[in-house]
Amino acid sequence: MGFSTVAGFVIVVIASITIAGYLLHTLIDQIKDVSELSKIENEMKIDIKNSDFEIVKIEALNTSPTTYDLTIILKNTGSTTFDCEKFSILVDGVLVNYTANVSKLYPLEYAEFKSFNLEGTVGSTHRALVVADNGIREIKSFTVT
Amino acid sequence: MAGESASHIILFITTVLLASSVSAVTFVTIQKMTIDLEFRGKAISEYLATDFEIINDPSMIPQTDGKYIFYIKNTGNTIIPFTNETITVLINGSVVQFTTNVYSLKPGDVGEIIVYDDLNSGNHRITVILHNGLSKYLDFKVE
Repeated sequence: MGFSTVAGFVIVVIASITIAGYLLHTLIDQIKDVSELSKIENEMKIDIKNSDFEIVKIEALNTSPTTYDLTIILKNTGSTTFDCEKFSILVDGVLVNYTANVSKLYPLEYAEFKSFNLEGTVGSTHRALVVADNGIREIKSFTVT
Repeated sequence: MAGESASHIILFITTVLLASSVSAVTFVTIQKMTIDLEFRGKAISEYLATDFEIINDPSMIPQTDGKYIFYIKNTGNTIIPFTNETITVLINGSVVQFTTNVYSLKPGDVGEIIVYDDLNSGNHRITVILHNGLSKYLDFKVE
C-alpha cells in the first residue's frame, strides 16, 4: 500500500514538473515575441513622431500642348531618414511613377522627385500629394507653366 | 501471505495506471492550452506588426466608369494579404464589392482597391478592414 502511494505520487510529480516546464517555456517564448513586437511598434510610433518633410518647391513645365513634367523638391525636416523608393506621389488623386535623385533622404537634406508626361495644359492647376513610407503626407497645389 | 502479495501487486498496478492516466489527461489538456496560447501569441504579434494607410487625396478620388480607386499603403512591418477574401471594404457602413490589383502588399508597397459602387455627390467614408481586424477609414468627397 505504502509503495503504491509513493509510486503514484512520484509519477504525478514527474508529470507535473514536465508539464510546468513545457508551459513555462511556451509562455516565456510568447512573452518574448510579443514584447519584441511591442518594442518595434513603439519604435515605429517614435519614428513617426520624429519624421517630417516639407515640399519646398514644386515645378510643372509643359513639354507638349497637353502634357507636362513635374519636379518636386522635398526637405527632410525631421530627425529620421526616409527611403526615397518608398514614397508615393499622387497627382490629382492618381498615383504616378517617379524617379528620385537620391535613394535616401537624410535629415535636413533635399531630394528631387521627377514625374514625366503628366496630363495638363499650360495654366491648369493641379494638386500633388506626397506620402512617405510611414504614412505621413504633404499636399500642395501647382500650376503648369 | 500469497494472497496479500497479490492484492499489493494489484493495488500497485492500479495506482500506477491511475496516476499515469491522470498525468496523460493533464498533459494533453495543457498541450492544447499551449497550442492555443501560441496561436494567440502569433495573432497578437502579427496584429502589432501590421499597419496601413488609405493614402488617397480625399477630395480627388480617381473614378472611371463607376469604379472608384482607393490606394492602400503598407506602413507596417509584415506582408498584408490583399485580396477580396482577406479584406472587407465598407462605404458609409455598407459592405461593397471590390477587386484588388495585387495579391499581397510588402512593407512600403501601394495597392489599389477598385470599388464598384454608385456614389452620390457629397461626403462619404470608406473603411478598410484587414484579415486580422485592423481597420482604417478615410472621409472623402465626390464632386
